[in-house]
Order: sequence, then structure tokens, then C-alpha cells
Amino acid sequence: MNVRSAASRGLQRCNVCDLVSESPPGTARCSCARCGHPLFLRKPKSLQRTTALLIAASVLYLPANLLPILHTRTATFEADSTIMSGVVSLWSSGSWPLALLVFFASIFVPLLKLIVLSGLVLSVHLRWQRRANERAVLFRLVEFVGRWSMLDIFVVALLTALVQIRGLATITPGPAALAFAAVVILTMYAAQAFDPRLIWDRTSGAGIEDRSRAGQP
Amino acid sequence: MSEKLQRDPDEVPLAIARTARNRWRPSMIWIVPLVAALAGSWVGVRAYLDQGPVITIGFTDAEGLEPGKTKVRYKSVDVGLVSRVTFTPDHHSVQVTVELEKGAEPFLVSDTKFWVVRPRLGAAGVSGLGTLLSGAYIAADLGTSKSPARTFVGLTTPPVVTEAMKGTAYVLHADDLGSLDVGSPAYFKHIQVGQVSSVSLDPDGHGITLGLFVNNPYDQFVTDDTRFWHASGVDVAVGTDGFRVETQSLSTILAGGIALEAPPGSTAQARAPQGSEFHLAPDHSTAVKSPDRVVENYVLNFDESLRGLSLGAIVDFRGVEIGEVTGIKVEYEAKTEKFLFPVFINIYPERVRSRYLEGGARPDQQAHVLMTRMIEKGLRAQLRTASLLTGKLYIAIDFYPDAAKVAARPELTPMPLPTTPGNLEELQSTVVRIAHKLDQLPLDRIGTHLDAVLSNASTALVDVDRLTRNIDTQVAPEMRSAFAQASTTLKQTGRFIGPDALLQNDLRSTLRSIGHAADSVRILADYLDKHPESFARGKVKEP
Repeated sequence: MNVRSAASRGLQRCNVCDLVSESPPGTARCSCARCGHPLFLRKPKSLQRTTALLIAASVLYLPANLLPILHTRTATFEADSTIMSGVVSLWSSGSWPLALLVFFASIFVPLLKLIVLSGLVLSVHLRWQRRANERAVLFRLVEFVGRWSMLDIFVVALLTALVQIRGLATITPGPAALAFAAVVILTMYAAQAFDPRLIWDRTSGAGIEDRSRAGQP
Repeated sequence: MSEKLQRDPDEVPLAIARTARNRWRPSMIWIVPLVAALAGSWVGVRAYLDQGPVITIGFTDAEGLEPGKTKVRYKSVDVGLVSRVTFTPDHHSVQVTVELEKGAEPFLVSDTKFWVVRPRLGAAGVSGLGTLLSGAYIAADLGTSKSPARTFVGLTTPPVVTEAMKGTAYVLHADDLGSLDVGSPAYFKHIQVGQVSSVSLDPDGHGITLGLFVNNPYDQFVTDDTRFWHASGVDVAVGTDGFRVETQSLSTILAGGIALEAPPGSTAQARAPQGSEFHLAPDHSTAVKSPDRVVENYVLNFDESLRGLSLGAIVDFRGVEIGEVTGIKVEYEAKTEKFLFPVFINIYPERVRSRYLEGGARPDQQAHVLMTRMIEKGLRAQLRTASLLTGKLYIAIDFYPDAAKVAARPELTPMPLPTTPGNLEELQSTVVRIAHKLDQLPLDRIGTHLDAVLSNASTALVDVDRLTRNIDTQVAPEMRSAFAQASTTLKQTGRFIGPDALLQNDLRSTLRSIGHAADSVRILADYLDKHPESFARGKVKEP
């Protein structure tokens, strides 16, 4: 798709007051003529920020899944359960729809987000030119699904608050809960930090490339 | 700024140029993955550092053991978790892999004990009730050994004694286990002072070896000569003071136990060291007897029937038990074509105190020398009846100085002791001898002689009869006249000496004259006493 973008015409919009102004030629950095806020063609350091947040999320994804997320102690029984062991016990106890839900919400979706965002960052970085729209669909999907990943944390918080019957049954969150929450938050921020316009920047004219490159390290 | 905006309403306003900052600056966002990496690696490093040693424990079965759930506990504190339960290669038992917690290295010694805690109902009580709800767990007891180990064999029953308990372990040897079991209590003066920690059959199958653990404050009372006996059940003794029933506690009557006590007159003070070995006697009376550490064997050959003599029959020395019968055999001696009935006995020389008071243990040879001397002095063994009712026999040893001399044969093993016929035997032979002598009496000759004697006697009686009649007819009248004469004589005598008789009157006047004479003499004597000069000058004239 070949579109003439505003950027290629030397126009940019202020992110604060939405004033469209023309960049004076020969200057890399300028600020809004109305509110004085610095003007950017693209989110500043978008790729860098997304990459950093993705790396952080990936690092925390391991403890989130390996460490126990829930510590259950009843009069007869005391156990630590990880996300996966919860899924397995749900599955083996017959409630497979619930098992599937937990699996998708807690294991598959965060992983999907990590992979998709990494792919997008990589594609931008490597200046892929094909399937730009499909990549945009993936990005929208990631943004949409992000808020649902907090399901697990919600369940843990609910259980911890509700099941506090001293002596009979107590549920306390494990260290994985924190890591998992961090993964979800970091991926959400990573998705937010990613500027989807970068997907097309490489496919359209070279002029924007130069300008956008100026904002990139 | 405003004039820039209003430069031209149709034109797009011109942005304000800023000074370029081309210096590349890393974004602060990189702190986020750094922190995440640090946190993640911290968790990872801690997980790695917290990883304790992995051990395997063998069990006969894995009842109640669940991987990932069953805990390993020491003093009710979790020290590990069962991670895997598998079979041994031969599928005969199970192998439990346990991940111990960090800091559990002290458990990695060869004598650390592991056992599964389940609810148990035993003689000593109920244990492990808590596991009814929480499920079984593996309990551990820290070993003291120095040799490292990673593979252990789980105990089938919980150990009674844990390393943390203070006390002393002893070894008891018993002939029979009775109703004892691991955990059976031990009592000292009816206070529970310990418990049986292990029970095992001796390798030769002849006895039982028990481990006894005596708890701390009480083990000081266990000395080298402390006696141990089965306190199981009721001990009924019949003595001169009537029936006596001895029991320990009610639970020992039902479940068995061990009692210990210092023997009467014990002088031992030193505490018996760990692992000291003792004999477990079947009852109290056996226990308080002196132990027989030295045993001498002898063989006795009796000529009489051994019916009534049984194994274990006592060997008695003037009423004191000094040994017992250990064997009764029949031997055929081909040379003499005779049957021998050897009786083997054990004699416990320590029961003869003086022999040991003089000086320590002596070589076995010396015992034979001593015995040879005793045999020369007439030491003999004899079968005696213990009870006429049961016909039981025992062996009595005593000195018979008149017994026929027998040469002692100390060179034989066991050394034979000469025997002498038993009491009953002797009585029997005496009776037979008397009967035999009676039999030999010439009764018919005695009869004829007696007959003759009797006829002689009858003639003699006739003579006596005649004699009596003679006395009646001849002697009696003469005696009557003699009596009459004597009576007249007496009358005359009476007249002669009667109160009015002549003789009597004369005698009275004579006596009166003598009295007067005596008075005169007394007056004379008085006068002479007052006037001794009158003896020379004559009577002084009264003025």
C-alpha cells in the first residue's frame, strides 16, 4: 500500500494539544507552536522501550510459571500450586473448560503477547515490508487481550481475601503471583510503548524513514 | 508565538525549532529489564542455593506416600519433601526420592533413621493420630555417625529411642521373648525408667537379644550386677508367709514389660557402661539369684532306675542348689556288655562362695584337683526322691566317709563323680535283707523247743501249787502262835515303860537330884567369880 503520509509532507501533530504544524526544514527537533510540547513524528524511542519491557517481561515469565502462585493450607493438607499444576489438577478433576480457560488466560496469552510483540519489534527492526496489515491485526489483538491476562491475579486476590479460615483453610499468594502480575503489566506497557505506525514506515517513502530515524537511536 | 500561529490562516503553523541534542542517551526504560533480570536471577539463585540434598529411602511399601505432598519431618518441622516414588530395580520394595531442604546436610549420615508415621495402635499406646487427617509423613531422626550417606533404608516401625533422648542403651539376652515387644516399658521400683528399643532373634536361633534404653536420670542405677527379669503377668509365690502375688503395673500384666533391680546386698556402685550385656531372667526369684558364670560338667553313673529324674532337676548339696541335670543318656558298653545310664550335670562352683573368696578365677584343671580330693574324702552323688507324691528325683551330693573308696578320674571329660545308692534304694535293700533273714529263721524247731519248754513249765506250776498248799497247812498255824507270843511280849514291855512304871519313877527322882547338883555348882561358880581369893583363903565371912 502506497500512501502519502503527513510526515512525508513535513507535517506533524502535537500529542498534547493536537495542533498540526509544519516542521521547519533542516531541524531534527522542534516543539509545538501552540503549547510548546516537544513534537515527535513517532513515539520517542518506541522500539527501545518496547524491547526493554519485553525483555523484562520475558525474564519474569519464568518465575511466574515455575514458582508457586498459591499456597493452600487446610487442616488435612498443605500444598503449593503453580499455574501449570493448577491447570493439570483442574483438567484431571474433569473441569476441563475451566482448565482451558486458565491455561489460555494465564499461560498461553502472556506467552502469545511476548511472542507477537517480539515479532513486531523484530519485523520493524529488520524492515520487513510484507504483511503489514496482518501485523497490525496482531497488534490490535495484543492490545485487546492484554487486560484479560489479569484474570489469574484477580482469582488469587479473591481467594486470598475470602479463604482465611484460621485452622481450617488458608490461602496465601505465592511469589509467582507478583511475577505474574509484573509480566502482565510489563507486556501491557510494552504494547503501549510500541508505535504501530512503525509497521508501515518502512513500506512507505524514504523521507519519513529519515525523519523517523532521527527519533531513533 | 502568537504571530507565528496567525502567520497565515490557510497555512499550517510552523513548529519551533529546538537545539539538536544529538548525543545518544540510553533510555531510562532499560532499568526495567535490568531490575526484572536482577529479581529473576535472584529468585533463581536463591532457588538454586536453597536446593537441599536429594536422598533416596527404601521402604517396603509406599502406603500414604505421595510425591510432592508427603513431607519429611524432624521434630515436627518440615525438612524435606517426597519428590518421587519408584520401585527398586527388582520391584520388591519402593524407593522414595526426597528433596531435603537446604541445611539438611547433618541428616546425610549413615545412621540417620527414617520411618513413615501413620496412626498406630500398639501396646505402648496410640501414636500418629494426627496423620489420620493430614496423611502420612516421613519422620527422621538425626544420626550421630560420621560416615556420609545418601541412600537409606526406612524403618518399618518407629524407633522407640531417638538420638535426642538422653540415657543409656543396654543389651539383654533372654531365652524367650514372652509378651515383650519394641516399646515395652522397663520398671525400676515400679517407675517406668526405659523401654525396649529393639528385639532380634540370635543368629543361632537359641535366644533373643533385646535392646533396652534406660532414660537419663535412671540409668545411674543400672550397675554391673543389676538384675533384669520379665515383669509380664503375675508372679505367684507360695512361701512360709502364705501366698504372695507380685506384679508390676497393670499394663505390664496385659502388655508385658521388664523390671530391673539391684540384687540384695549389692555393693556395685559404678554405672554400667553403654552397651553392657545382661541376662533377662524369666522371673524375679531367678533374677535375684547369683548369676552362674562358671560351669563345671560332671557325669554320674547310677545303677538304679532313673525314672523320675528329668532335665533341669536340681543338684543339691545339703539343701543348697549348686547345679542341675543337663542330660540323661543310655550307653551300651560293648566291652563289658553292660548298659550305662550316664547323667550329665552342671555344677556352678560360684555358688560355693569360699572357693572364690580366696582368689579369683582358677584354671579348670584345679577344679578337678579339688574334686579329686573331695572324692577321696567321700564325696558321692545320690539319687533322692524330691516328692513321694510325684516320684520326682533330684541328685544330692554329700560326704559319705564310710563309702567304699573309688578312684577319681579327673582325666576324663566330663569327669565322673562316684555315686552311692539312693535313700529309697537303701531302704528297699534293707527291707529285703531283713525279710531274707526272717526267712532263714528255724521256726519249726523253735516250735518243738517251745512245746517242750511249755510242758516243763506246766510241771513246775504243779510244784508251785503244792508248795503253796504246804505253806497254808504248816507254816500258817505256826505263824499264828508266833504272832500271839510277840503280842504278849509287847504288852509286857508296855507295862515296864508305862508312865506309872517303877523304872519311870526312879528315873524322874534321879533327874531331879542332878538338877539340884547343877544349881549348887552354878552358885559356887558365881561366888568364885566375885571372890576368886576365896579359892585360897576360904569363904569370907559376911559382916
